[in-house]
Amino acid sequence: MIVAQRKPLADIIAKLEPYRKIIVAGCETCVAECHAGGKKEVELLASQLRIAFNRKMIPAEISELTIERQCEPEMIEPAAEQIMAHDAVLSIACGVGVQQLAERFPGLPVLPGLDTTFMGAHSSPAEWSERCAGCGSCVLDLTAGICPIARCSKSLLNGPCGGSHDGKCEVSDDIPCAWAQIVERMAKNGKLDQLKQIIPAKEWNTARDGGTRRIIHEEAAP
Amino acid sequence: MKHVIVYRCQQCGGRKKIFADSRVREFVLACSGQLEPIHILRAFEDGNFGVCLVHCDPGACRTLSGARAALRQVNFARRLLEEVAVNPGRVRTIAYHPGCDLHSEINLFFEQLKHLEEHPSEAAPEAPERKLT
Repeated sequence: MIVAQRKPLADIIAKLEPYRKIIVAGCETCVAECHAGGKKEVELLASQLRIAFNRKMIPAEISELTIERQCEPEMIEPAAEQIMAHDAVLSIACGVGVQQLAERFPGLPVLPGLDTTFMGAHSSPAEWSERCAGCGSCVLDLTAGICPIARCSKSLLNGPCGGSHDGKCEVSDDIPCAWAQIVERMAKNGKLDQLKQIIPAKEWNTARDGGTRRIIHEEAAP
Repeated sequence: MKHVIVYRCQQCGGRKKIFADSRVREFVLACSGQLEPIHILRAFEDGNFGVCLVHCDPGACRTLSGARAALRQVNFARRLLEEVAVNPGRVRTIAYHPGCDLHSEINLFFEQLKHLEEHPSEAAPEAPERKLT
């Protein structure tokens, strides 16, 4: 899922102050799972904004909306009329959702309420951690299903480096060394020998360095 | 009129409302674990003085984790209130035990809130005028 976290409230309020009719738009998919932008978070943020605007004596009307998936134009459409009745949209979806709203409502200021952070998973109660860097050429078959690009601080393809100690990364003791995990899992699976093979240098032109990426599925074309 | 909103677990004094004080609005919950942070924020959005949660001792909660969950939600709500400059002291929790005098506890809370009201920067936010629809 896409993991995000809310921007500092003071920043959000400062950006919203010029507007009088604001709609807080959440997304019920990824950001709802990571407790950043679902229906509950829309309610809480809208409530906080009402209290804050009241304190500042700013007469603003704050409405709430949650779209099942803000990245899907078909799911935005039923709420179009409601959204257009406002001066500004505060979207607490991921960056994709914010851009989709901005594209659909070109005259309307669409402000991001979240900082979209990474593609990750629930790693322990109340904690999400990065799992995929979306590099465009997956090597998980070679690394026992643990991504060295997203989970190794140096994105090493042949690790671990000298900074690995007691299964932790030299960057921080809170970060497990991905390569220590890979070695451990390979040993468990009886495939430690596989690691003797050097993984060749990666083609990074499939990652962000190759510019904005797009995929065309001709079979899905109308 | 501004009130203190009391959310009370039914195990803490029974299912019927127990506060006759007109300054108190009481909501009886099947378990304090039902409380959500939005219930606390909405109370301040409506311009109330404070919120009080009466919960069981976490070790004696009949739903096992309800009281603990409620206390976590209260702490979260306090952080959200702090962000909008509402003193988190306006949210109080009372761990109920047999022999606990809830009325005097609430009166004590009123006293604490009165102190806060005397400082203009700490005054509870006013509720906006609501349009009748």
